[in-house]
Amino acid sequence: MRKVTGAQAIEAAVFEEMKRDEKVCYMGEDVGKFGGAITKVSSLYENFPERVLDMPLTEKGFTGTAVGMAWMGMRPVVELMYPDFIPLAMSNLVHGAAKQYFLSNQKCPVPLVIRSAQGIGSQCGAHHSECVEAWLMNFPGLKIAVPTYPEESYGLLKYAIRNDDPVVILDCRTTVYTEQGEIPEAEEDAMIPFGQANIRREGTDVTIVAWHKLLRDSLEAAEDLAKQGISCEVIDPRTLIPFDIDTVMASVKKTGHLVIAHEANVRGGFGAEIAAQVTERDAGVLKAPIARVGMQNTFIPVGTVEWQIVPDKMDVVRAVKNILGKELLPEELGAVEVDVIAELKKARPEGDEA
Amino acid sequence: MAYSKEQLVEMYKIMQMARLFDKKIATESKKGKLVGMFHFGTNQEAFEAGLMPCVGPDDYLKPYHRNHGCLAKCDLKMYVAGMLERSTGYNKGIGGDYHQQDIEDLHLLPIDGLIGEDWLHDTGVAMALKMQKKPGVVVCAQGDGGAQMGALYEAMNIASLYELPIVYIVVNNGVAMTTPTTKECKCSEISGRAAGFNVKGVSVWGQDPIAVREAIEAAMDSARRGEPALVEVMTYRTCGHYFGDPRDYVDEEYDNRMKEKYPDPIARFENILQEMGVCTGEELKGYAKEIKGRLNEAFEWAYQQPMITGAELAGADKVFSNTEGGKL
Repeated sequence: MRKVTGAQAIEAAVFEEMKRDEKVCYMGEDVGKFGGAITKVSSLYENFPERVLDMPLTEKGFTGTAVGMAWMGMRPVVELMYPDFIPLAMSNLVHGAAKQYFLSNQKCPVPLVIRSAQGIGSQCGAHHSECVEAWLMNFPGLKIAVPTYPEESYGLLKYAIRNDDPVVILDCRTTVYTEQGEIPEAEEDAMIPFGQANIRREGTDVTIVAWHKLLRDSLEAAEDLAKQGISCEVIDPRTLIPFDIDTVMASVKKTGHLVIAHEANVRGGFGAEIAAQVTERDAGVLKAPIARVGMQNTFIPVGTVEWQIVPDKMDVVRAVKNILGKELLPEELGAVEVDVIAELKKARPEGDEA
Repeated sequence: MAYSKEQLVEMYKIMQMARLFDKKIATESKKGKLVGMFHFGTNQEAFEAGLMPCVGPDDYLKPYHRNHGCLAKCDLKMYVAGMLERSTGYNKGIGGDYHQQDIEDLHLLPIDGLIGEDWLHDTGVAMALKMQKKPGVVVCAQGDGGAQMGALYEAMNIASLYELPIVYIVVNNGVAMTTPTTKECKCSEISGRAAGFNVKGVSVWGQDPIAVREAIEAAMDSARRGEPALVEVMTYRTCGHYFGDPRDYVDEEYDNRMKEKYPDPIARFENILQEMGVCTGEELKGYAKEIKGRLNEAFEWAYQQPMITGAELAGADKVFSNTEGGKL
């Protein structure tokens, strides 16, 4: 096993896949010598210069180009510096990539991977901090993966690259540098198949389904709540499309309570889809209404105040206690104090002085 | 260069196929046997006659939606069946008149319903050819309307940077849907824009199939050397946007002026072939008759084929090639 950060896990996964299969190529802005702006992947250009395509500032241009490359059997991995830029390439992604397998009568698969890291952490404001999974989920033909920890960033990305369908794989800005994890040695089949949720913590009173920053926050909330005798089961779905509803249902049947937490806006978020799927299958297992935790349908301003806009551990604690009918402690009424300068430093690549 | 009779007749037949296919659709629609939206390319058929002989087996073609001359690349029966929602036709009948595609075998690239978006996808096909060290050039066409899309300019920039084997064709037929080109852009020749990307741009009078052919051939030679090119085919569409369009929005003065500038390419080519002693009038009539016969046969065959059903198209396995992992 190798101990790595999420960013290192991503680099390792793409490196190994490029080494294994010469159809894999990596493209995006500043991905060559610079190694990409967010998750450093410098070893790719050093080792495979002819398959690392530095692109001009044209998200639409290079995503559309990657679509045509994938039609021809290449396996492009496209890095978007920020997922906020997806709308620029939306038409190529949904009409050119997602519909092609259907429209070609299953003759032309599109092995395209779009990857980016989403959410707050850069203090760069409203155009660089969005969580975009819900923008994409209404399109059949796209798979969406949301790794939070290095094991998932590695295993899901490897699976995405070998998979023949278009995948959008969204990493998490607040965990991609800060969380360390162990990934397998560079062996061929260390992949995490899509559609398999991971129960990160077992519990009996309430089920929490969460990913990205809110998964980390939920695990901390579960730790705090355990001290008060409340037992939380925390599930990381790992992929949203396909979604492992069976694991979630089994947990909700056990606990009777469900909290869904994500950094993206609440309205029309993927949490709404999970809530709908659970109630459609068996609303009778719920002993209380489902609670959703998410951003309150607003935007992220520039600067350190971003931490006060997105939900945190306390929002999860309050949601859990609310549906269980438990009293809040005085310290649970506010928000978590964040050392924003330390967080910013942690959320930058090593050697970056920003 | 000099062309053989065979080559000249081939070009003539492509023009007639383009026009007679449109006419056949009109006839069948009037009989109530066809439903849907059909876009014709009346008076711009010399474009297809010049283009199609240039496209070889290694090349990839992305026609646009007024390109029935490009049927030269297809099996006519399969195309008509595909157009008529028959499951035995191309694309099992889901492609309609202009979204039929077969990248792998026919090298026929899909036309995106968002006019002008596919400039980029075609550029990706050229990138794949180059990276996979395969021979062949991508030839992709759009109208003057599609040339206003930003995708063309991002595409030309990438093609130029990566020295891709691609030829962009703008069929400037004087009107985008109902809007005259003069109201779309201030430039008299769209090909001039190519220079800004270090792409070779040329405009050619589109009523002469030989002039079109030579311009496209030269562009493809250049693209094979890693110098992408843009060819603007200057012509005029004398039919409406769709079959049944009354064209009552057309300015009469503009219409007359354009018709004079861009005369009927088929009548023009017929005169030339006869004057040069290549074909007799009887021979030319014979070719048209032969095409009509092929068209009738293709439609009759297609009408006998089974209709595609919704049930045949349902299911996640039609949308995803890999359905493992639960609910999709």
